[in-house]
Amino acid sequence: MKIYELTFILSPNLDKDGISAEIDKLKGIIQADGGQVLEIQHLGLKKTSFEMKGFWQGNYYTIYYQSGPEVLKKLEAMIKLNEVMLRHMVLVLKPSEYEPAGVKKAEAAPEEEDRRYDEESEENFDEEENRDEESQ
Amino acid sequence: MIRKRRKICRFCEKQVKRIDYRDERILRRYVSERGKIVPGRVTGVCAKHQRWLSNAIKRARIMGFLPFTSRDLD
Repeated sequence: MKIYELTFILSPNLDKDGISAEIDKLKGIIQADGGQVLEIQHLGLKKTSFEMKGFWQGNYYTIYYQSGPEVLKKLEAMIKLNEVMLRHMVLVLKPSEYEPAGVKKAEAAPEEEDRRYDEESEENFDEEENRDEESQ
Repeated sequence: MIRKRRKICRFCEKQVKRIDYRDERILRRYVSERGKIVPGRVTGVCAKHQRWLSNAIKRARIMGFLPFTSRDLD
C-alpha cells in the first residue's frame, strides 16, 4: 500500500453539486478496491497560466489516498475520458513526505519570515545578475 | 573586489523534506520574470535542492501553476 497524491483541475463551469459528484466518483473508485481516502484538499478556483481545454481558470483539488497499484489504472482511465477534468497529476509519496493537514497548518505559521526572505531575495537577484554580466 | 559571502541554501536552513509543486508562492521566487528557472548560483540554493526545485517547477508548469514562458515583456 502506497500513499498517492492525486491533484486534478475541474472545469470552472461545474456547480457545487457537479464538483461533489465528480469527487464522489473518484472516492468510489478508490474505496471499491480497498483503498482509503486520507484527505481531500480544495486549493481554490485559480487562474491557470495558459489555456486548458478552452478555460483560463479551474478548480484545483488534491486527494491523498492509500491503496494498491491497481486503483491508479482505473482512476486514470476514468479521468482521461472525463471532459470536466482539465488536467491531473499523480505522485507516489514516501510515508515521510505525507503530512496530515493538522501538522501542515502548524508549520505554516511563521509567514513573516518568508516575507522577509522575499524582499531579500529580490535585491540579491538584481545584484548578482549585474555582476554576472560584468564578468562576461 | 570584495568577495560576497556565500549564501546559505534556504531549503537546507529550514530542513525542508520535500518541495511541493503546488506551493506557487515559494516556486515564484525561483523563476525569472520570463518564467525561466533561476540558476542556483544566483539564488544560493544547493545542488540537491536545486534539483528538487527544478522538478517541482516543471510539475507546476504542467499543472498550470506557473507559466512555461511569459511574453508580457515583448
